Amino acid sequence: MTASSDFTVTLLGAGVPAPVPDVFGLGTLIEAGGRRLQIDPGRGTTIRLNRLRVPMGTIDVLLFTHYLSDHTVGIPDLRLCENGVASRRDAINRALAAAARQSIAGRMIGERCST
Amino acid sequence: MSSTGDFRVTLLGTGTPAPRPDRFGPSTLVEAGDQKLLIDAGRGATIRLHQLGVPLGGIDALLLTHYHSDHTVGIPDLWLTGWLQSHYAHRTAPFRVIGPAGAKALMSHLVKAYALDIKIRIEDEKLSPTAAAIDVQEFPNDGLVYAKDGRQGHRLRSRPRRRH
Repeated sequence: MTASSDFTVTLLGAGVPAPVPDVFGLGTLIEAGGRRLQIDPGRGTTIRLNRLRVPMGTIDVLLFTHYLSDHTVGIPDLRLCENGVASRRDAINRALAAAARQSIAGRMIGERCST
Repeated sequence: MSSTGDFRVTLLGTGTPAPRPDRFGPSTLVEAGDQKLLIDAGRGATIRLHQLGVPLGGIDALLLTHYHSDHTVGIPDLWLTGWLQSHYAHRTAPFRVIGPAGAKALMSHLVKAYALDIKIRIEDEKLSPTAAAIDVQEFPNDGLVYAKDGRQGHRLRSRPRRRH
């Protein structure tokens, strides 16, 4: 991470819904003050995070802008892909429980989200 | 396609759950006669279909082998990119899913999860609700999985796993 006042924005994907191999779906990583915010997980977000060597367990909050599918089809992968980092699930559970209990992700995770 | 009676199998992904750019998640395309079946939808399956020039809407049915996430995380993408009215998608019929016990629960939860996307696209893009609908069937442990009868008919059966 950089100096405490800096923040870093990384575009993980800036594509459209077309399933092309070179431009992944919407996903933006913001690193600021020692915290990591993931904005929208589209297609391929987990691949880009892995490429950046960002363990998914270090994402503090997942933010949704809206619910069109190209911004959300990466949720199951981000939530479920095993990365050997126990804290990842806890971090995402917190984000889901706080921000999306009645939303798309809340419904997807169901009761496990509220624990 | 090749002559009648042949079929073609394309491995779209054979990866593990690790999110790598060079190996996508498990997914296999089977083309037989005029039928296109996709077996499992792992990460990146839509990209591989697009690279093959197979419109997502050209898949007749998605067959699920089991419910580990690396075999299923591509379902929302295949389903919800597939009904967009673009050349790479263009499904006009309901999204057909066939799997062992559990398919109905999985798909009914996805329908709830993605209800807002579907609602927005029907209102804004005037997409057909029929193409967003899901036609889901569960197959028995030992029995018929999929049948397409007729001149170029094909049948798929399941068999119980032998225990050693």
